[in-house]
Amino acid sequence: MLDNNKKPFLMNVMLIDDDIPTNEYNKILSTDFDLAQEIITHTNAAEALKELSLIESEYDFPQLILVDINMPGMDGHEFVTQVKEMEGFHENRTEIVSLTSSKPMNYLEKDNINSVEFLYFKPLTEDILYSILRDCFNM
Amino acid sequence: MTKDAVTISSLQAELEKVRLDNEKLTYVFEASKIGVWEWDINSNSLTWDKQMYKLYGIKEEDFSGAYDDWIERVHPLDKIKVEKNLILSLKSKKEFHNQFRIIWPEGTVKVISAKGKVLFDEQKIPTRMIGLNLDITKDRERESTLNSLNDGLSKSLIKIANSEEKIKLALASAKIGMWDYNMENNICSRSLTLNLIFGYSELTPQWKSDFFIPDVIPEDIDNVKKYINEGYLKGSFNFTCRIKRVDDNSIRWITVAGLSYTNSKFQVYKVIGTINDITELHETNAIIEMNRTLEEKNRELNEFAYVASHDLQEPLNTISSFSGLLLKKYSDKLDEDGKRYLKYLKSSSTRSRNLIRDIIDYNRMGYGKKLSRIDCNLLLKNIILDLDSKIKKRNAHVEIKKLPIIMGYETELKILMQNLVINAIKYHDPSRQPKIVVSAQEADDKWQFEIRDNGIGIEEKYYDKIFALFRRLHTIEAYEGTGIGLSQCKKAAEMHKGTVWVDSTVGVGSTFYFTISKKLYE
Repeated sequence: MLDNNKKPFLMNVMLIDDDIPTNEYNKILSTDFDLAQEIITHTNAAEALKELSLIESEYDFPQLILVDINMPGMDGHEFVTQVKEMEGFHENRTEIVSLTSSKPMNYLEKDNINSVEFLYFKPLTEDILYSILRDCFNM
Repeated sequence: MTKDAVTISSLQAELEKVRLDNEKLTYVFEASKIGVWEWDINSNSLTWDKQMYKLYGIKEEDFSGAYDDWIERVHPLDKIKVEKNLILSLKSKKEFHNQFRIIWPEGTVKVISAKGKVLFDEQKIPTRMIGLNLDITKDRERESTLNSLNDGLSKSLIKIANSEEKIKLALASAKIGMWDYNMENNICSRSLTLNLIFGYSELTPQWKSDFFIPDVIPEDIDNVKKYINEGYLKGSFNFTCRIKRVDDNSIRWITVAGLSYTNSKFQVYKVIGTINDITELHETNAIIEMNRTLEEKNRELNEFAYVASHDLQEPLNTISSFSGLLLKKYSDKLDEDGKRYLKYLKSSSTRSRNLIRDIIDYNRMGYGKKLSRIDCNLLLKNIILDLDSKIKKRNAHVEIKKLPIIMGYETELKILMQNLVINAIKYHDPSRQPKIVVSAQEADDKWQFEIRDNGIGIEEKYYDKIFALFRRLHTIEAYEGTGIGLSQCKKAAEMHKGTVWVDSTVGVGSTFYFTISKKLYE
């Protein structure tokens, strides 16, 4: 199954987390896991958004965006909302996965997480990457 | 026999004669329209002669003979006065003499002049009262030149009085007392309920222009005076204050509502009002308020714990992740000591992280819970999917029997089932393949779930202890864990008005049971 795949699973992935070591760790983990051919990281959601807006072809748009929810300035919720409004964004092509250290207190109040379709808990692990591939890409 | 008793018994005998068969006297009474009555105080019943029924405008069969049946026929505005005087004559042993209005069933008002004598037993305890009623409506009418006016007025008053009566009944059953104060003659009358509220005995003290103010506690007196004076100007008042009961000195909360009537010169001539003892309500409200504060504090504390532990997790994640990375990538550059130290670092930070995560989860259980319809088959299927790697690692066999669709709190129910399945896998016996069976049975008012394993088992003395917070039976080295899992299960089961318990044989396996009530309401 998955384990015998030699090629990276995805074309391109974007990782966003304001915490530099976490971001770096996520990149190492994803690289070792062979998650994607191209792995881009950002510690600032606004910068990530700016980069996404410059992408010309929809095929260059990341297949997967992993974004931390709790960030200073633009947080994960706002980022997801804005990405979904972009021209280059296509639901069939790009999956957005949110990461959080722990469930918010009002986790069950759906209104607060309605922009989040897939939510995983940090730290990112190989198991979580497998789950993401299973849940979002049917791999 | 005392001299008094002799006198009374002879009087009794005399009256007995009158009541039985004295045609002449009966004739006189009839002609003069005098009614004879007798009140048996012990049974609180009345015996009337024929004339009495005529005086009250009723047939014999319409009168039950009960004291209450009579007093209800007395004009509401005279009732208190009449009862007051009856009690006075019983106490003072003096003759009862009173004039009062009665109301015929169809509404006619008659004025009755009544007299009565108290009869005592040998211990001088009043046993009976006998007396006369005379209709003096006509005399009264003649007395006043305003009679013709009064008649029309009184007829409309009766209607008012009748509805007033109903209101009074309602007020009495709601334990609301009524009072009215007439400034022209400085008479204040009040209902008996007020005696109960204020702890008065019988008829004392008389209320005057300051009503109940003497009973108001000193701290509230100024406000009460202010409210009433303002009320006179506005025409109404409504306030709450504390009084000190006369009989037991207890402090009671009352609400006072009143209306004042002004004449053409804008002078207040009459005040009426109600008083309601709201002490119980007040105390309940105080408890509710305290409870609300407590809940608020508890919520703040929970949120504080959440934020604090959330922020603790981030750095722990980094320590744990990077020590893992060091172990994985730089093992060949470290000697055995270095590797061991790193392992300690990794396992400790992971443990701290898990502990914080579990505490947060435990704290949050039930927060914003919503009752929903849950297909337990689906729920368990998802749990098994989540635990896929653990199950594969142990080569465990999980069998799920047909499970019900129930009403419950999904997040908490998932934690409950998930923890029990995780435990069943975790505490497996290494000598055999782990086998886990999940099933459910229906009872009258609940569902009983069962998670059976063939693991290491639990000694009976630990059956209860394992559900306590942070309670662990094994060292971290033997079995990892925070000691919170089964506490979460207990909390989740209790949220579903159920319980969780275990039955086990060491070396054979354990069966965990939990129940979910069918009677859960938001």
